[in-house]
Amino acid sequence: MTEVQQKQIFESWLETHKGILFKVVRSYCEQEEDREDLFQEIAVNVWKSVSNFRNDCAVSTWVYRIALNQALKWKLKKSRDQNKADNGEVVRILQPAEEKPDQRLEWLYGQIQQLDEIDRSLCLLLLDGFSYKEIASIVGISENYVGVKINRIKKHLTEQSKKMLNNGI
Amino acid sequence: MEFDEMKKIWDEQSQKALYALDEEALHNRVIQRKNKAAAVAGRSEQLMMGSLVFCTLVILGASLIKSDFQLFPSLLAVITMVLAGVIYLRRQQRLNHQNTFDKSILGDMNAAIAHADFQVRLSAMGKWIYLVVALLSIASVVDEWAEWYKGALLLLFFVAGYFGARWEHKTFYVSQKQKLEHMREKLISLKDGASV
Repeated sequence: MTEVQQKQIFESWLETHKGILFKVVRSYCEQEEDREDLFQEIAVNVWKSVSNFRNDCAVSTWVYRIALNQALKWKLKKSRDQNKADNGEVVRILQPAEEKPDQRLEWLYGQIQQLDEIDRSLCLLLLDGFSYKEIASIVGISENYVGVKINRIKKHLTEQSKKMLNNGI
Repeated sequence: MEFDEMKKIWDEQSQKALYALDEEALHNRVIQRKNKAAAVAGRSEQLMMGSLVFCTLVILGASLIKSDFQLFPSLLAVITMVLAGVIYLRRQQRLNHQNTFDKSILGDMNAAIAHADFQVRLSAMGKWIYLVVALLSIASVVDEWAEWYKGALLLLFFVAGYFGARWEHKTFYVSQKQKLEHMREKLISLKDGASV
């Protein structure tokens, strides 16, 4: 594959599946600067992965797999490097769109961020309409276990939303 | 709120632009990196040239004061002066080359990488300079085999210095270049996704 072909494929993937990147980034990072770093890491890895894609799964599944793997690695690295922050890079490159955010969506992201890392991945994939089989393949756990965990996540989120409504938010 | 409703809210976000790329901030960051790489390369060149010229002057001064011509120190003086000249010429090449990059973000990024690459090559060349200086210095010190311990001490000093220089080469210069190359990859991917 030539570099031009790789670039074309990457651009088309990014255009179609950029939403996946943003959702993963937002679910795994609370800070804006962290989101930007993780976004870049994922984008680089998606770029590198283009030549390895063999059409044995949907592109969205492939991109999700890379994004989630990278997010998990990034979290691990971040916790190791917690004390080595580079203060020289405080200028933000990715600016949130100016449109007023949906408060219910903000709440949902907040809830996802509080889940443990596996549940977070499951929740993202579920919300994006992946089947249990696809989720099991991406996350690397059995389909039955996916089912059990997803039921718990749904129950947890529903309970949290009731609490939120009871508190008048 | 039931889960289906959460899913609807979730799906709505996909239709909106979530982020915009701040090109100016991105460019400023790249320029900062470029300036830093150029400053590091410039300081290294000045330090190496200064050390080599100083070394030449000390050797020549000592020979003149003692009025004692010796082969190895004189050879060392000539070599250090030539090496200082080589570094000066390469510095000029680097400074001229930096004007050939365009003023785009990617052009500045490539300029930063070129400075870092130069620094890596300078540092690698420094190891060979070090070897020549070490050999000639040891040869200058040991006039007779009875004085082998002087040579051994100097050798020990140079070996320690060599490992220090190798550590510096890998830790600072090679890793800095790799960081910049990684940043260029990120930059390309970020620019490709600029219309997010």
